[in-house]
Amino acid sequence: MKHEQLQELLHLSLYHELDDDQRNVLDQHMKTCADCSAEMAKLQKLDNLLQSGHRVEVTDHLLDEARRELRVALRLEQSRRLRFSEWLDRLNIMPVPAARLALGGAATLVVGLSLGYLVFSPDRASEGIGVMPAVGQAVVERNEPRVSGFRFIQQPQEGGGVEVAFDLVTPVRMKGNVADNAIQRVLAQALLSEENPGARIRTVSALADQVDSSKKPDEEIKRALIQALKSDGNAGVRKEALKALQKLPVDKVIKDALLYLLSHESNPGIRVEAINYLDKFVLSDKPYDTDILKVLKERMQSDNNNYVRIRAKNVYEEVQQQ
Amino acid sequence: MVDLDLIQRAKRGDMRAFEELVFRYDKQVLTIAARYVQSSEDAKDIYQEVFLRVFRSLPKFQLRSQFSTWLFRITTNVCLSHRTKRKRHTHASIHQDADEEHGGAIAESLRDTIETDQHAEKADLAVHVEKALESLSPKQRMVFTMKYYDDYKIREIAEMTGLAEGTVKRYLFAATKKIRRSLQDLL
Repeated sequence: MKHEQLQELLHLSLYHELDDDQRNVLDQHMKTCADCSAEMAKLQKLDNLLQSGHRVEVTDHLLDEARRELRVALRLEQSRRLRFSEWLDRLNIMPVPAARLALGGAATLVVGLSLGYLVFSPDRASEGIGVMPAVGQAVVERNEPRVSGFRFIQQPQEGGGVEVAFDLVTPVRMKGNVADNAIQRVLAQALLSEENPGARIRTVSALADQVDSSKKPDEEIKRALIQALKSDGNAGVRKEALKALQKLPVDKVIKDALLYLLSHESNPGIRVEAINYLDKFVLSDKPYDTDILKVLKERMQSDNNNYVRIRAKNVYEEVQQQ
Repeated sequence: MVDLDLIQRAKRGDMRAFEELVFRYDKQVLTIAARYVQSSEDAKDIYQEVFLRVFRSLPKFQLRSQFSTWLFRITTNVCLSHRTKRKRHTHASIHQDADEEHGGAIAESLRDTIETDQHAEKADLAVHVEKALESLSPKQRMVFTMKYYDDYKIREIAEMTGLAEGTVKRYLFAATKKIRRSLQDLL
């Protein structure tokens, strides 16, 4: 075997890629070749050095966080897709195909012109905030959109082809009363999409203050609270969402969310709060809800937190005694 | 349930099936990303982008290849096109990552003892290794981290990245050479 081939085997040995025959050949060669023995020693030193490099460990906690964030992103993706398909449905109900084509063409033209205007107009950035028409009681002020999160999907090729992706972000200022439905809906959206957990906590608190137990809750707000409760990565946000939901009458959707929470929530304090909430519900409802009893029993037997087990046991036994 | 059933259900809009499919492979995806970018935040970004791309493209997935092969090609492509959000060239940022990973108590302990020789030396080595990895091209880095830190076989890396085995070896040897050059003062 040539010396270059043996050098390759040396490197492959660093990566544990040698089969038994190759290993034997290399071992035999190294007995007689001082250069290769020295090279092997250097590679082993390199191996030790590389092991000292800090690498991110993928813990269960990190995986849970990633999954939570993915759920939120998928929900947003789905709602975007839904809005787009609604728009397509509207287009499809137009009776004449030519009209669909014309409308589609016009829409494409408008989007193209808008993008061109945004990207190429030099004076846009210097313009101030323009006052837009009021929505309900709230006044909306919208600033100019800007490009953010720009990235290359495909780097420029030899022929000039390129693919990029970016977000068009429109800064909006909204002024009104937090009781205004338009503001509440924006808060509900922000709760699901805002990256800053501090902002999400303030958002959910503002929503919680407005939840009125005597009125039928706005479905979008309720859905956002439940989504935050189930999948927000920040325990403070989940706790606030649970507080807000406690003001609402318990229905099947909320009950399912609480049961999900009891099985999946990582923070024991929140699990205890969920049990306290279910306690009120389970005691006021006869015949007792078997789903709730089943989950309480599970928690009582297998929760890794002592206090959660005790609390679940208390409620479970309380129900059994009645 | 086999992947194929889950894929077909997910294609029809069944989110539970999609989630189950994700959960079968997502730890591997997150691990590849974490080794490649060296930050939990960036790794989560990559993870999310991968599965959003899968979600968007699943209706067009023709089942000509294994789902896992397709998924890992997407993963490596997303890694290669990823731009880190924060620069991590300093001691401080590396410690910050360690803090995120191991929680407040260890972070506090690290801060308290960072002046000790042992920690300083380890941190110093970690910085050098990270710098050496940063000197690699994205493809070399991808192949090297998959081989060295994730322990995939060259054959598996070739399948996951869509590269020929010979090309994977070439990237690997070139990466080793570059890293050795970068770390020569420490060897």
